[in-house]
Amino acid sequence: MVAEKNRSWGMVIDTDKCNGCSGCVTACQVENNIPLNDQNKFERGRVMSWIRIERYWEGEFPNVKARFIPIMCQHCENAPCEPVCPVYATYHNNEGLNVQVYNRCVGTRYCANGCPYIVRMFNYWEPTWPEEIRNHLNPDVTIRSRGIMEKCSMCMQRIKRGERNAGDQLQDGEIKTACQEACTTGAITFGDLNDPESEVSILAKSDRKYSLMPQLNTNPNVVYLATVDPYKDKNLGEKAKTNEH
Amino acid sequence: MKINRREFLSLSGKSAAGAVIFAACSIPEKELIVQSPVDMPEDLVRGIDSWYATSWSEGASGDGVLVRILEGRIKKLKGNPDHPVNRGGARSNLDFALQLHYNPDRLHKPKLRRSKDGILANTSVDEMDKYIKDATAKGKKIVVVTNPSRSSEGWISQKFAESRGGRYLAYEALDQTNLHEALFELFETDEIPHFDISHADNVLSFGADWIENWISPAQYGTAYGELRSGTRGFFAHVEPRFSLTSANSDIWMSPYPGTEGDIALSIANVIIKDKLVPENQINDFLNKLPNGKIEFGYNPEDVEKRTGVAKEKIIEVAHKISKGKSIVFAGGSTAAYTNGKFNTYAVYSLNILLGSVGKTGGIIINPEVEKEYIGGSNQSNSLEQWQEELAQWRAGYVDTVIIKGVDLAYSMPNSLDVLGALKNVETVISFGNMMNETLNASDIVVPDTTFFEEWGSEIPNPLPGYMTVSLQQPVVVKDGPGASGAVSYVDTLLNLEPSISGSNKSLVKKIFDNEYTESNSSGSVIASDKNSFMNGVQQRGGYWNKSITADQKKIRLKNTFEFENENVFSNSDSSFGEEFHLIPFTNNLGDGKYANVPLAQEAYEGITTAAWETWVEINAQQADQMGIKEGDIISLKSDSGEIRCLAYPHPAVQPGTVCVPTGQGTEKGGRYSENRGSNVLKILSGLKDEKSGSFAWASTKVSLKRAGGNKTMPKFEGDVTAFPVEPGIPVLVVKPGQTAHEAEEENHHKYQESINFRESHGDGHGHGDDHGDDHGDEKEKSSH
Amino acid sequence: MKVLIPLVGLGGLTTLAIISILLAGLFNAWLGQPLPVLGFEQTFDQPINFPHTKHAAPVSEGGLGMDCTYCHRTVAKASSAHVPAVELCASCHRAVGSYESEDLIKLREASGIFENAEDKQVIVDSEMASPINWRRVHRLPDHVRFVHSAHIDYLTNHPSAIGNVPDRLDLEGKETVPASQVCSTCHGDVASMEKVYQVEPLKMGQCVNCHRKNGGPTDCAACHH
Repeated sequence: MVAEKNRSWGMVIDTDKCNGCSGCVTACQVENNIPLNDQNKFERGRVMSWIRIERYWEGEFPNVKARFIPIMCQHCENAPCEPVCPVYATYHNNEGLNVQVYNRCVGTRYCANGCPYIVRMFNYWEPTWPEEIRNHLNPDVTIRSRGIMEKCSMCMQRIKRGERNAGDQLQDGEIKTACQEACTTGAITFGDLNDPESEVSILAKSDRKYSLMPQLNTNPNVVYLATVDPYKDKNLGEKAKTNEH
Repeated sequence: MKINRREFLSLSGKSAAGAVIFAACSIPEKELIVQSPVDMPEDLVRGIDSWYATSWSEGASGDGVLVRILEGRIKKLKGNPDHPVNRGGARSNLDFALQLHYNPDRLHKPKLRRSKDGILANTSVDEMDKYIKDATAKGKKIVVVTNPSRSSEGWISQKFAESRGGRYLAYEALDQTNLHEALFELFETDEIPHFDISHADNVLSFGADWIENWISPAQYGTAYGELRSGTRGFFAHVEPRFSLTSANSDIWMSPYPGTEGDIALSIANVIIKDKLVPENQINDFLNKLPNGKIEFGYNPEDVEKRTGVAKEKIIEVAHKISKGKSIVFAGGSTAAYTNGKFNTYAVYSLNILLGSVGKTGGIIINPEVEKEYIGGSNQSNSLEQWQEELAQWRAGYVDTVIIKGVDLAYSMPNSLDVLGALKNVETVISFGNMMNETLNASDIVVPDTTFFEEWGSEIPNPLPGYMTVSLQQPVVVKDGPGASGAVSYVDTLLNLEPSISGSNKSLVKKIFDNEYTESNSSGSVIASDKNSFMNGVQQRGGYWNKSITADQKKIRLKNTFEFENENVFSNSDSSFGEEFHLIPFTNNLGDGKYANVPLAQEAYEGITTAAWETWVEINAQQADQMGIKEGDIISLKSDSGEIRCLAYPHPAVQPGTVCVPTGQGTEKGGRYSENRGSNVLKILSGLKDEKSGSFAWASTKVSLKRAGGNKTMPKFEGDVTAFPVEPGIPVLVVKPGQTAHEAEEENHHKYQESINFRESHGDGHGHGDDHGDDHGDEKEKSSH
Repeated sequence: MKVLIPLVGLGGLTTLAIISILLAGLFNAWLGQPLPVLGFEQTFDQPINFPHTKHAAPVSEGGLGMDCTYCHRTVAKASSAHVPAVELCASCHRAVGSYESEDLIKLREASGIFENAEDKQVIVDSEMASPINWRRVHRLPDHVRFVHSAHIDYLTNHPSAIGNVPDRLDLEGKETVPASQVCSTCHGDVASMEKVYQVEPLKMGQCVNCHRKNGGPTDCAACHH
């Protein structure tokens, strides 16, 4: 009998440490066999990426600020995408993850409409790679064919591999997601939210914690920590510049 | 009739219709093969993964890298947590290496041009060897060109050039000679020091886009994370371009290009006037000045007029950095004007005023690298040296040029006419993984190996404050799947001149044998004999020893500063009569090195979110006045050429300045890079800083006009529509000490106020747009 | 009207034909197996005839009684079982086995071992070695992540769950069994097969039934990710 671990995988993202370098995006692209986003996909607004960096402008020159936030599937406990799927291709598993079952998906895209975070990506094209590039595809991850939905799986393959390798002695921090590994500044932390000792649980209790769109009551498993700005609401020398022009 | 499945299938299989269907539905023949793992279908190869520790000198400045290998194929790269330089951090271009190695356009066969006006045609390795042997015979004048790195490979290049009485040169598109020169005059060593950002309280940087890609972004990225944790460190940045570094700073100062040095001195002025640091440090600093005092109009008010940076910012930064441990450093565009050396100089001198040289949380001088079997250069030869060198080529004084790892023809400005120079060289031998413009202009094209297939050893640049030697080891076999036919550069040179050393592997072993002898059972690997030491090095990815440092106390300032600012270039450098100041910057594509890597092409730039194209960042207000919209095709014309690119009106670019990314517009590359964008490096005026001979690549002036036509800008922004939301969503901003909950309450309150304000003023229409949360703020401001 | 009736009939027939073709296609997709046309017990010729009977069958049955994990080395450690490298075959077959046998000549050539026709001297030239294109018999769809090691781990410690146990083995009352005795659950008694063929359907129903019986995970994500 394989024991039930009663885990709840979660992530804490410190937006104060995120510097918007997009290393996580590339790492995710490679780890999860995400098809190539050619220029056409950019022009048509159909870029595929399970994690993305959003950039928000604030203020006006010369006091412009840009804020970055990495956004991926929030793995909501109360996910709007789950009840709308007619074929039960997306569901919540007992480890706190919102799972997408590719072989069940029939591509209705109801879930993408339901998702307020817009993190579900639809395969409009059959993914193709030149023969050479196929060499670095990750064999642990299914290649999704045309017409189905996909999204961040919190590196399910790494969780499975980690659990298998560690047996009962899985330590906190042993499993790392690809984005976490690629994040130089350590803005992303991943672990078991049910374990009170784990790093994520401790960080998730921070004063700066918030979640995206709390008013929707989706109860995400991804927790964000607010950006700190000592110059919030005050711009140094704002008048000086207007005289210049 | 009872029919079982097998019979049914065989029956339907026999019918013609069935045959068609089965043919269409059957599994690809390839997937039915389970041969040896060498040729197996890639997505089915699932085995035990092994991770190897190695390093990548060309792309990752000697950071420690871990490579995941499954059945002889490279699957993933990550930073080596053990390595002292990057400490597990990985620069964002790390995974691009996968597609340098596995690229559909990778060269598998040598090419040969039999006569100077002939065409490049495929040839056999034997014939190539013969031609190389003839071209590099004793008595030939040989020049070897590589990218700047200090490594065993660099040593072999150098030794080989010496053995033929030739020269060794290094080239880098965005030259940093000024930085090294300024450092040398201040600290008597041109080693880039270690910036101990992790332990610092305050960081002030000039021009160097250290968060995105300046010198060693993995190292600095890790340190940035540490700066922002615990007691949150303060960070200010000075750069005319709104780079990722500018975007992440607490205070961003956008000066008129070329006036960065004034800001540094103005900060010094404030610190001295207000006596913000101890007397002895002020004296240390002032003693170095020609007149013993700062007298020449560096008060913030005057500087504000000259630089366009508000005096309040200058004063605030001066006060901030004089408390606690501070680092001040410069690089990138700050060092790349015709007064770049002065700028860099002025900036680094602030460290003396702040007393942060040689201290934890300050600037730590790195030890000099003098190692047997490690050679090459940590910096590119200056523009001046290159001009002299190319003149020699042009005059026909050079018989053979060996080029490895640099695309001279792509990355040198038009004014140097490198193609003309190459034509007058008898034989040009180029090593490369994929075709590029230099390879296309060569006589012998050698399909090069990648760092995954080669032994090597390099010194990371910059060092982490103490001696570190990174190891590069082969992680896949040569001629492995997807990468057949590669010829090793080092092996070729070693075969041509056997007196240099034995095999490349034995050379690397010798380097670490020497380390073992010097290690005295200390450092990262402790072993009882040379072989087990080497094993340890292979496991950890190198050898480092915290006790081998530079003597920080011995650092003296060499000369008195030359503080006469010759910063007049903004109106006198060019006689072309242009209006815009052009600042090129490197992005994911580097200097075109990754242009044919699809992963690099699709990795959108952080601020503009643009990809696959060359764009020009122009101040949004100015663009508005000129009637330029996003995606308009723009012609940029300098005194040495013209390029076309797409306009990107940018809210945060200094008016009068335009910024263009490098890397696109290669004439000869591969399927992902050809006929795409344009090459900004070509139109840079060949100006240099007269004090150092360094290439002033940020000093070009261009005229800008619409060339007619408009294209959809390939960018990620707008892919995901922003909901009309109240401020604080999705990026919640708090003041230091404020909790997220308080900030949310405050935002909500403001939002309510702004709604009430709008309703009472009859402004009923929606408030959300792409720019997200700023609107609420503005409305709020205007209500007071 | 008279003209129309045959036309309608013809149309009906055509529709029927189209529908039946589509149905046949659907049937095929539904039953889609690695060997859709051949059926289970039939199999294909491998490039070199490898008789499992010779290698894996016990000595009493005329085999050599080799352990499965001797060749399928990673099966208990990794997700895939692995076909051995030619070197492993050659390590025995350089010496063992007739130099006349056609299959063994092919094998030796693939591992770069040649016999000089004149003086019967053996030449080894590893440059000439090349992998053998074995054909896959058991194949799971692309969207299944099957891990051999996890299953072997469980079955070796729970012999009662092993299926298709060959008659010669007696697993009654055993606490643990070696890894090579659990393979039959999915692969049948390979040791008795001259040419390996598929004995179990290896469809999801079978997986889930077994998982339910033995308390394995039935979360979709366990196999589909």
